[in-house]
Formats: sequence, C-alpha cells, structure tokens
Amino acid sequence: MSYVLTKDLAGKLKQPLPPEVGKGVSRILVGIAPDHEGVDSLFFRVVLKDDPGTATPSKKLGQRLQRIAAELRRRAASMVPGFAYVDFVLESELPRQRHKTA
Amino acid sequence: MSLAADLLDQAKHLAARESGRPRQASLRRAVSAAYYSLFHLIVDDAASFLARSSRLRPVVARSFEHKVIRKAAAAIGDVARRPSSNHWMQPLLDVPISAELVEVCDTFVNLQEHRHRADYDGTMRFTRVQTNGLVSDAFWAHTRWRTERTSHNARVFVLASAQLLGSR
Repeated sequence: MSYVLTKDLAGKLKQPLPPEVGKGVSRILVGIAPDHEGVDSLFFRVVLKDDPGTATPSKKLGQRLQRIAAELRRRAASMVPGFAYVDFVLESELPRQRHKTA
Repeated sequence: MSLAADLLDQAKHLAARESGRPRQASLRRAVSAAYYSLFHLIVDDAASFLARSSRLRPVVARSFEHKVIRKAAAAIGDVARRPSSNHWMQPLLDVPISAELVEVCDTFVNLQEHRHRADYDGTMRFTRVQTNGLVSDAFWAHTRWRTERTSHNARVFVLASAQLLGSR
C-alpha cells in the first residue's frame, strides 16, 4: 500500500484550507514516514501563526485543531491510502532556516 | 476522579511546566499521559459495557490491547472517509458515522503514534505548542466520547477493540 509523495501530490495535499477552518494557519507541511508499526504513512505538520490561544491545552483549542485535522484527513483520504497523522507547531517554534548568500 | 481524568489533568500540568524553556521530559510525559487518559477512558467504559460484575471489570479492562484498539479506531475513520472501501466493519455500522466518534477514533490513532515517538524516539524534539495541541486533542476527545459512548457505532468500536468482532 506504498505510494510516492510526488511534488504534484504534495502540492494538492498542502493547498490552503477553507477560510472557516484554516483561520490562523500559516502553512501546511507534509511528508511520508514509517509509523511505529513500520507502515509508510502521511504526516501533516500544521504551522500556526503565533497565537496566545495556543499557550495552554484546552477543550476549545482541541475543538479548533480537530476541525483542521478532520479537513486534512478528509483531503488525504481522497488521494492516498492509510491514516494521516497531524500535529501542530507555531511559526516561532520552527527551526530558523539559514539564508545563503550568493 | 477517574484515572482517565487524572491522567488528563497530569498531561495539562506537564505541558505547562517550565514556562520559559520546557524540558523535553515534561513535554514527552505530557503526550504520553494524554494518550493514556484516552486509552483508559475508552477501556474503562468498554469494560463496564462488557462486564456487569465489579470483580470482572478490571480483568476485562486488562485484556484490551493498544494495537487492537488502534486498528478498530483506524477502521472507523477509514469507513467514515471512504464509504466505498468495502471494509468488513462497514455492514455493522450505522451510516453516516458521527463526526464526534470519528474525532475520538482519529485522536486515539494520532495520539498513540505520538506517544510512541514521545517515549521511544530520541531524535524527535517536541515543542510546547505541539504538545499543547496533542493534549488539547485529548481534552476534546474526552468530551466527544461522553456524548458518543452509548451509540451503536461506539459499541461496534468497543466490541472490535475487545476482539469480539473481526474479519475471520
């Protein structure tokens, strides 16, 4: 049940979410990696804009993130087999990229 | 308070520790506690449904396997998202499957994977918000499970998790 995450497929998976779901989402990262059972699986990492609402765990935050995850899983199910894992990080938590000078 | 509720509280507490630079140990244990809170919530309910006797209930609860529950949870999500997939569980389920139950099942599968990474993958670095997100998912799944636990589809999930249903 393996597949290749082509540029085209990744592009479709990373398309912006509908505005009513994707509010506060900066970008979506996607990759394939084996899960703990060794099955190649899709992993979404949703990058959120810095937001004080993410400072502590809460039911409200869970509700918001679940809507995003549900949308991404629905999208993934129409394109690839298997379960799509989702997690969330803030823009400021991502490792800074080094800019190369010419 | 139940063990499931206590573990969820513990997850929240650990996720909020060390306000400046959180220790990986705290974040990892928070993710693990969040997973186990949902595991015990489902298993305790399942045991109550399957065994009336208070003497039998802990024994029944002990018989559940993480991998089997994960498989049942993944199947529920799969049938909900791919109704034409001809999964063996499909004829047993009422359709449409509620979004609430799908969220609980998806959260279980997602949290189990992150629990494994939190406990065993030394190369991974957890962030505060990543952890808060996973703990919040567990919070929301607890709420959803309370409204879904007596539904027909939740019973199918529980019976499949107990290995009383399956493709033979």
